[in-house]
Amino acid sequence: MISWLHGVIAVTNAAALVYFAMLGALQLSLMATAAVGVGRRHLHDLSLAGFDRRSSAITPRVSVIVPAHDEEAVVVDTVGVMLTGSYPDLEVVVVNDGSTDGTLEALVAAFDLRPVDRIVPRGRPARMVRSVLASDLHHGLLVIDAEPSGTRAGAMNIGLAVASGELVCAVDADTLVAPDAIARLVQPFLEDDRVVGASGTLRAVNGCRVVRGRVVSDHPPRGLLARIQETEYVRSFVFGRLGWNRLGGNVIISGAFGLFRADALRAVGGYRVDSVGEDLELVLALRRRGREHRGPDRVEVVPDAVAWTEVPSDRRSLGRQRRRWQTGLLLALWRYRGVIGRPRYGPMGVVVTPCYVAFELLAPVMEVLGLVVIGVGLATSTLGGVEVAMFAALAYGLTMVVGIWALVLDAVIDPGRRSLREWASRAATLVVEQFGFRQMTTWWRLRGLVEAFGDTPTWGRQVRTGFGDPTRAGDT
Amino acid sequence: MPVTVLGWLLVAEIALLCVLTLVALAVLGGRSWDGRHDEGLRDARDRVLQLLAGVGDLPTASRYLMVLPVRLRRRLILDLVPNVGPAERPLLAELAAHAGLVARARRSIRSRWWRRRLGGVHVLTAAGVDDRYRSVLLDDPVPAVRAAAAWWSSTVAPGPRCAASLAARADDPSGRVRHAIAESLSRLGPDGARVVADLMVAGSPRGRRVALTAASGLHDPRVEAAARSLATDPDPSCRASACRLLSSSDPATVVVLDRLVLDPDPGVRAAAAASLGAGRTDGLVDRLAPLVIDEDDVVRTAAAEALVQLGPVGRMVVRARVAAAGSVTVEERS
Repeated sequence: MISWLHGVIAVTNAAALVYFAMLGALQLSLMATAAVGVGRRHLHDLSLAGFDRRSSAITPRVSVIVPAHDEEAVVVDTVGVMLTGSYPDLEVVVVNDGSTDGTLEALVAAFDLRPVDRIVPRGRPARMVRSVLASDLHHGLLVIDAEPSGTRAGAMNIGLAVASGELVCAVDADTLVAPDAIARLVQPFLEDDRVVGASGTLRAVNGCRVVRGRVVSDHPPRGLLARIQETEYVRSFVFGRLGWNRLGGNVIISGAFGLFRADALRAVGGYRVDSVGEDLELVLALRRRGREHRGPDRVEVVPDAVAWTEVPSDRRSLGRQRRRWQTGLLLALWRYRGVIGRPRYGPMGVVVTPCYVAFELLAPVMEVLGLVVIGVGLATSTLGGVEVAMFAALAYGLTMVVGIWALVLDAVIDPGRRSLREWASRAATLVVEQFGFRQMTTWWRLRGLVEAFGDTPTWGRQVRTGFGDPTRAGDT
Repeated sequence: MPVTVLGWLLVAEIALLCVLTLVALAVLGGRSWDGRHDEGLRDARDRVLQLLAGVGDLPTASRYLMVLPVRLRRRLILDLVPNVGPAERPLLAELAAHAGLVARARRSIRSRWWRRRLGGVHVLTAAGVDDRYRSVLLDDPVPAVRAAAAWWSSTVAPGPRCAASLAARADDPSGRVRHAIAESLSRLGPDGARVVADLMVAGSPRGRRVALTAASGLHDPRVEAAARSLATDPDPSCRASACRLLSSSDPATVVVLDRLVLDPDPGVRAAAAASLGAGRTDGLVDRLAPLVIDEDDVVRTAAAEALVQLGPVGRMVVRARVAAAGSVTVEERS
């Protein structure tokens, strides 16, 4: 019995080490490619110095779609800041997705809206439109009052049916877009016909001082949970997406702030309304279609196109968000399983999707399995205490290395954003998150995997208190 | 895995962590080191703004500027450029010359280091001087320098020669350079329109795209005439772009658009419908009415939008057509 157990533990131990070695190699590669990406962006910005996009006569029209369901507290600020941005040809389409609060009334009062005639193409989106309103004050603003679609994807599709821009920008109603962010995000489309989507950088607005929708002072969030998430966001956007981008395989454009080619978006049928991870599925669909039809299939990450969004500040809503993300990842990868490992789909098929399966989807399973084996190994004296401690230090240390590198790159991208003291405090959260937060996240992700086999999870109700409130509750 | 191997890996990881922390300190420390000029930069900016507003004098602004390192002087001037009007531009140029930036930029554009050449081009663009090295810089091996040179050229010395030299490079392999050329041509007005029209007719496929992009910012009859000739182009995106340029009620244009509403590509048909609507020609309702029951959503919407914009008659036609087709093809709301 004991020798059998020893054998199992030895095999599992070896498998864990191979897995860890592969993960380490991938992360070191991403560190290098992310650094190259930041360097190239810096040079790219240098070449555009002195160029004034505001006076350009040849910019493509951008339609910003803002799905809003019970967003009375934040929607006016979000829309207002976009209408006063620096992009010359912008259309803002707000979809009031059957709000039960005063979202529509707030918009009508703030922007002096009146009903207008507007053609909506036949189909599900058209059947859901109650009325279309426009503003005499802001010619680029259109508000669609729609029946509740039930999902963010449904509301986005209604907006897409009405949008007239060549490029479509998805912005959440609780997201504040920096004044120059859309112009920056458009740049890759102007320079390369093969670009189908572009992703900006999201930052946590918790802790920032916001006046009329503009972030006037950018401070770290107050609560520990939000602080850890702020560092996570940096790691995800600066390290992960930028790193994958240089490898040609970024498959995530955040739903809160991303830009797409409108014709490509329509060609894939818009967003999937029956999906939990509709952002991931959309990018997979766009890139797959691009590869199959020899159309645009590239995704670019623009780290200095910044938008601010609320991060959950309590455990319950954070847990729900993480479970939803993991469920969405599993369902998306299952739907697009035909892409995984297929050279036909380039780096996305050969490298990215297999890595997502191994190191994102299965990561919580491997982590829990590792902890169980360590526990059993220690109990049966198959594994030595020193060996286990060293391995744990190595594994957690790797996350630290990646985190520190992401913070360094963030300091290079946006110099002066954080003082040395704030930077050190962010680095300290990298240590803190290893004890408690990491295990909590692993548990939620594991639950997300299990829930994927049950009913499709819902978005849940979002309670907003407005950007001006420093004690905002976030997603509850 | 033996403990010794784990030990070595751990040592390597700790070493890497130390190196990264040192890099972080260097980056953040470097920013703090730069911060020692913050006050001087602020003072210099105030003086330059006073000069541009007509309440300061050149020697004072220049003195404040000279206190700063060259790169900060250059950055200050470049940051101000987008907010400076044409009337203040000569003053800024004079200040840049006074602060030694123009002489340095003239040397930089002949440097073997491309970042210096790029910096030089930027300063000369901002100062609005000197296009002696235009062709050399437009043929630079680095795309960033070529793109900046295109922009510089059209800002500093707009005119037929500039337009011709930009058009000759419309086939550039770099997308960034091609876009800079299109942007520059669109700002050249009639000089740009002439070469853009030629490029649309006789350019390579890549050049034609640059010309079509530039043409969308030019409102010139020569461009419209050239766009008519692209109605038979084999590339559907080219035909659709050409359609968008045909917005007048000129009979020759209407004939071309009448042909393009029957195009096999839906994108071209939609663009033609929208252009017909914008032209407001006689018999527009009859021309657009069949498109309201087109098989493609985008075409139906474009045609219906154009008709609805005509007023009650157009709206009535949309409803009648939809009813006659026996099914709802386009839903008009509110």
